[in-house]
Amino acid sequence: MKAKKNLIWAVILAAVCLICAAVILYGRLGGENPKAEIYLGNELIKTVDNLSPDEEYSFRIDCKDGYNIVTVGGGKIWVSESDCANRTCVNAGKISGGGQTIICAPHKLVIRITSDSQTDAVV
Amino acid sequence: MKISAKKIALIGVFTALSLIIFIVEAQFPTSGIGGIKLGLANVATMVAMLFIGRREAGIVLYLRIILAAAFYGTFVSFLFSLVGGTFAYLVMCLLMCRFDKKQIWVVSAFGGVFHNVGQLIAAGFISGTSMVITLFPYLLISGIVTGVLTGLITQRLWFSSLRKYSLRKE
Repeated sequence: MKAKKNLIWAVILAAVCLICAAVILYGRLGGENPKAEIYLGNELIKTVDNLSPDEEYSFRIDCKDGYNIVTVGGGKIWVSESDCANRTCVNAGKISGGGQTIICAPHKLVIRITSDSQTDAVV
Repeated sequence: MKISAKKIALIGVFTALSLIIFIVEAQFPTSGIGGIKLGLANVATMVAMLFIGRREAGIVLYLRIILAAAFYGTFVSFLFSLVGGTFAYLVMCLLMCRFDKKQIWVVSAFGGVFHNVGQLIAAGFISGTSMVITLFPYLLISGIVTGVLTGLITQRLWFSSLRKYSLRKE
């Protein structure tokens, strides 16, 4: 009986994981011309149309609490430097696919990838 | 509230353990989305809950969060720990006595998930944007995986010879 309970819970938890994995993968599908949108406090401040420039480049985003340096290159975008409190944004690494997001909560900065076919598929 | 010397000693031991685990774990670079990590410090909180009691586990948890912030963290990381820790603690308080000891890993999985839900809500408030919701599927998976792992460790400790130090007999 107890072994059965273990099995039931294992199946439930695995099912939840699979559903989440499906949602994540679905968001990455059909990524024609991925673009990066950069928001500062819910306001779209910049769109990077070409994530594969000939040469890698960086730009600085200033907000009232500090700055983030964002780098673009090789089909990816990432936060290369930040003076925020926890560096979660820098540790988040490079993103390239639809629905992927980097968030720097203390600076209210959000970078997310959208593509032509699905702008709001992942909510 | 009468509290025995034995209880105080155990609370001290678990708090120290939890703090050391937390600080050691924080030295490793958090990988990937949303700063996912294993959350091994929660093993100490859960063992405290099993060995001493729910209220004492709460003392261990909040002492660890406050001390970790004083030694190591920043205000933002303190806030994240506080909200995530409280969510996980409350749900584990509710579930721990309702589940068999062989299902500690399930309780821990719920704890992991609610910890991440709490942190997501905190991130939403701090960043002032609802776009943090895009991280939800990642955090749900990581909450379950890390929760099951830490839960299995806790379960292993409960079913070990260490249990002779437990103040609760059941």
